[in-house]
Amino acid sequence: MSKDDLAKEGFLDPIISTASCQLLSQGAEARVWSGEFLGRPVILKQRFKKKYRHPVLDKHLNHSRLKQEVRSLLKARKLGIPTPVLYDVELEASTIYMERIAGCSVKELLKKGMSPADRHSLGRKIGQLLATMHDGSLVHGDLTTSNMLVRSDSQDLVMIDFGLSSISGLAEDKAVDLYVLERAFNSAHATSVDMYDAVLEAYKQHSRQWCPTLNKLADVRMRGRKRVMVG
Amino acid sequence: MVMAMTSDHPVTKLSFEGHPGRSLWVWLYTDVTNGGEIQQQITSASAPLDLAALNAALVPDVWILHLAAHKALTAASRGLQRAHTLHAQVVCNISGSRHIGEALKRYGVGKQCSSLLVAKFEPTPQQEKQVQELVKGKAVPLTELPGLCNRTLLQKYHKLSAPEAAQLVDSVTSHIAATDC
Ligand SMILES: Nc1ncnc2c1ncn2[C@@H]1O[C@H](COP(=O)(O)OP(=O)(O)O)[C@@H](O)[C@H]1O
Ligand SMILES: [Mg+2]
Repeated sequence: MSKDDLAKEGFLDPIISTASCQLLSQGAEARVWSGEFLGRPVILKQRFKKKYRHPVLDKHLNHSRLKQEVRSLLKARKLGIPTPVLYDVELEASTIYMERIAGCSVKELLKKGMSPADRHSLGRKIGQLLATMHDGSLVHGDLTTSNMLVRSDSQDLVMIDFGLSSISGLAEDKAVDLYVLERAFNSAHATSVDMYDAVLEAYKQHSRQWCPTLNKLADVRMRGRKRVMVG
Repeated sequence: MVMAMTSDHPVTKLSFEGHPGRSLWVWLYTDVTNGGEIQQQITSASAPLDLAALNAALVPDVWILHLAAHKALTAASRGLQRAHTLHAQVVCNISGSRHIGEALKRYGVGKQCSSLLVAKFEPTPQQEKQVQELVKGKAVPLTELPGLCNRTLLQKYHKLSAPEAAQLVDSVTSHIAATDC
């Protein structure tokens, strides 16, 4: 393929050479590197080609997901949800550049061990933030404890990874968001069920639409349990 | 970022990891009296002046210019530049919109412009002198830039919400980054 064809499909190499960066993670859809951008610490996130997908469909999906991730980062910022500052987007390379947050994921913090009081206050922060996000019709789509970072200086909670996000006002979609988080807390962190209680407590206090959402959450849980019993 | 004094015009030189060898020279002026004249020279049909002259009140931090210049170099290197010159592309990128005409009108130098940010890629010594003779105003160090910002106008142009406006530079940065999305 010529360079122009590659560019059209979004598979050029990023301008900041990944050879000068450190590979942080290789997910199902994207690779994430840590590097430098105009003298600042940066995260590069590149969506890659899927061999088994039809090339035209692949390009289309890649671009629309990348754009969705960027738009949701902006939408979150508009709502006042702390997110990494977006530095650049290279559609030709399917790459997002963003501020590298100096800190730890909630997952890492839990693994290291937190006091009950710290777990409670962090849980409340998460709940309040999700309430604001959902009231603004932003559904994250992948609410896991590794997609929430805590800045080491200010202790601010920062949401990342909007790659599966969507815009929706439906209680059902918000409930699924909460259910994914519930599962993450229940499975990976057996000692942190109290933290999820704090999440829901703050969510209920801060979301205008908490009632329909939490009702739906009960339905979603039932369905989830049935699925587990059958499968 | 390297700051240096040449004559009495402080100049800052910005470099780019992604575009090795390229460098953008930046000057800041306050109390500018000939904005209209500079605008005419830039848009002159016969011998246009090839540089970026920005309303400094709409550039809250030199970082924003650095980012816009990086994006312009990237677009040029991939054949995706949309403005007629690299310097015009920088001005357009600063606006965070794809409307080149409106970007130049809002963010570029104009008659009413009393503080001015001038930038040029790799000027020759002669071009450097030309820039310094061009502007009738007071050359000041770039550290004065944040203090010149018209936050209200910038907030309006970028349609920033209250939480966004509270983090002005970060929010403008994110908007510029997402121009094509
Ligand atoms: N802005 C950021 N600052 C610091 N670390 C980040 C940032 N973005 C991503 N990471 C790290 O990279 C990991 C993967 O990034 P993520 O966007 O979640 O991609 P994926 O979709 O593959 O999960 C995160 O779990 C986190 O550890
Ligand atoms: Mg993730």
